[in-house]
Amino acid sequence: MVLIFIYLFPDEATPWGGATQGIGVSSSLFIAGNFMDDPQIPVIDTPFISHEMGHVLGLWHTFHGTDPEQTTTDPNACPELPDGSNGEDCGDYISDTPADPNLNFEVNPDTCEWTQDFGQFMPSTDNFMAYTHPNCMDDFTPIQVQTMKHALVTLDHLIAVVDTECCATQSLDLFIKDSTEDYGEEPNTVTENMWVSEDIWIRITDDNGLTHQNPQYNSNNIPNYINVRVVNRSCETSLGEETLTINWAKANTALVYPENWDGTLSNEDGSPLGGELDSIIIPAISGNDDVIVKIPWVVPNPEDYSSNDNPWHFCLLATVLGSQDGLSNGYTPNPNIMVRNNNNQAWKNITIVDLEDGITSGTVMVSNPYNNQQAFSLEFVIESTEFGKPIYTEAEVGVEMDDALFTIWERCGKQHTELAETKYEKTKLIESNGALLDNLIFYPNERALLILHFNMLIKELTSKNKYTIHVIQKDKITDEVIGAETFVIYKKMREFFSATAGNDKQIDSDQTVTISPEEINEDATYNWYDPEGNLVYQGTTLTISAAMVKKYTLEVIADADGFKDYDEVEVTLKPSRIISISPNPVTQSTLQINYKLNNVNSAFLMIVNHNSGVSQNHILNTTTSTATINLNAYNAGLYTVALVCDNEMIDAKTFIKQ
Amino acid sequence: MKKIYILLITIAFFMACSNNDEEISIEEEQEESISILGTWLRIAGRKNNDSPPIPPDELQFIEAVSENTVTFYPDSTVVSNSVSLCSNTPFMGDPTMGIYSLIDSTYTSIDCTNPDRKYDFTQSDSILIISYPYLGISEGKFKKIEDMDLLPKG
Repeated sequence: MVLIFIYLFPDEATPWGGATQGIGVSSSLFIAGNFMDDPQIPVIDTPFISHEMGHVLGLWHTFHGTDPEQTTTDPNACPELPDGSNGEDCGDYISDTPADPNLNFEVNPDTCEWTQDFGQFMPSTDNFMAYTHPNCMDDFTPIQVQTMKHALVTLDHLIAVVDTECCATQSLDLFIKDSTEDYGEEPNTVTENMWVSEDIWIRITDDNGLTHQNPQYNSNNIPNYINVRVVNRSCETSLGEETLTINWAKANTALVYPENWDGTLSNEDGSPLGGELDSIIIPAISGNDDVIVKIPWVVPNPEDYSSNDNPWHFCLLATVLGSQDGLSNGYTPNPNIMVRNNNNQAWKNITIVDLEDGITSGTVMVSNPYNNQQAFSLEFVIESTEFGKPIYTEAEVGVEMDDALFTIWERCGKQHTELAETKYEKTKLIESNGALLDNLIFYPNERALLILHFNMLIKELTSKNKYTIHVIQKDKITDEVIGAETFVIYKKMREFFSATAGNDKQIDSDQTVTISPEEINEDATYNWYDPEGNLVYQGTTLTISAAMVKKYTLEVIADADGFKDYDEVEVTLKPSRIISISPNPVTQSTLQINYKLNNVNSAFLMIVNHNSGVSQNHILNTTTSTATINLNAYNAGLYTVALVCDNEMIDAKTFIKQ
Repeated sequence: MKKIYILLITIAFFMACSNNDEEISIEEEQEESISILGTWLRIAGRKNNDSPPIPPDELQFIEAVSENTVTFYPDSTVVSNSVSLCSNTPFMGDPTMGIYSLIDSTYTSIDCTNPDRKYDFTQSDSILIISYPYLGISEGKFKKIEDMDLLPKG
């Protein structure tokens, strides 16, 4: 244990805030006063204490070096570029914190979004080391955590106060964290979602990266690397004989142990849906210490698994076993229970959807792991610790069922909650947190696929760059969590574009019109939909005839990242009308009237004498455009010609008979 | 606005016609003093730091290139072309608008996180200092670049 001295000053102290004597230079920190904005809570009740602790343990502000006006004692300070490409050498020297020009506390405390747009910069509003609102401070990045841990074992003034005699248990106990709150107690009662352990992560190359990457298939059998952080929570150094075993499974919301994890199950082509990698010996770990164990893994070929083009990733289960440290509570079929009861295990079901890489979707299997018919629900839940706009308000989140899942859903009446219809029968849109595909009646061991699509709406864009949504399969009767897959979506700010379909148009019944939207400055797909939601055309020039007049919706989707925008244009028929009367004034016995009839069933001309009020009607042939009127029976005077279509007067003009 | 101009012109007319020496000297003083009205360019800033805090008398203004401006109008509105009304930063952001008072030399802005927060400003000749709520001192320094009579209201 490390002894840190925390000095508290009165709430009314000014200036408010915290202080340290520098970055990693002492084991003391100071807290004083109340936060400046209402409700002006004491700073000691805010995460500023974590902020100051970060300084004690060697962390700079996230805006260090980047805010050119911030006074600093660091002679090497230099600005971090907005894209973070020099993040290891400049800024706060932490590569996984975004460049920060200094938030100046200008953050909405309710949404934890910037109140201002700083262009290319997209700093984190939740990082403890930013000048953000205390409501929003809740995160150290993995590399910040690593930096602080490094400080604890390298800075002399901290080593001096380490008490190595304080440990969770005296007897050997290795464990893998299920979440940052997990300290190895069995059963784990502090972790909400058991399937998102941050202490298991994949790197596609043998680097020292600490963030999870989607596994990547390589046809030359070049492995990816599964990294697992194993923690020794006891005082005793481990024997160095303990093993780490990794089981993999194709991403599935109902993974039963061991069938789904050991290669017992395969798809219709015979490709295994899971497997176990060779165990690795874990090096001896001192008491209260941890190690990162790397296991190479040749990722199975995705083409062996699904005909759909959407990425279908993997789930990982890590297990530590030793002669003095076995599974306390044994193996059970439901991993959600097994991992919660055994601190030697952790589990990761995460699909990364990085829109910048052009990936806009992810696939997961949904199945009935039991030998009897069973009803399940699929719930779509936003990560409870996430701030800002949820993904379904800033994007269209499409829930696509494959044929098998759609059939299963149809079996019991297509029940759902908070899912909107789309133009595609098998795809729904998530409308709010907790949306449900409900009462899915699965036959024994039946399997199907679910695909989630993420299309950001450019007009809803905020500076938020990470979104998390869980797909949780539950037993319909007992509400027990069977399993889940978590989708983490990353986006970066991008050039704005707008769908512009052009002005509304009017045509006559014998005309056509071509609608050409403004093309955006990048490769994009232009889809046109009719009012019923049918895709009627894909391209930039849509030609409309009189038979097709209606309101059309233009959908523009950027090819690079799936961002989209909509616009509408309406094509209508011009009203029927009298085009000309000639001659006028008329001295002859006949008068020619030219007219245009658009989509009418009946029409006539009513000729009214202004003096007498007497009128005469002339029935029109709706397929013609000219009428010749015999005026022999008409007295000299002023007349009005009215065009009446389907019993409604549409147009009128006057003429004089001399 | 038109009424204000007419009033100013009328006052100027009467002052110009005065033969009183003392009044002429006041008029000259007024001509030499610089009005708050007009546009001010951000040229520097200083901010305290919690690790470690810098004593106020050692906290220097640091110059940084900026295009951020604030403009004071006669109708008590103050407008910035960027975030300068809310945030002490040389970086550009969204335009902001506020209401100022010369009685206590403060402004508020509904564009800022806290619309009730008062920002103090002090003017000394062609230099304007805006004080931002922060961990101790946080000030932006602005230089007058355009007078109001040349400005149409944006």
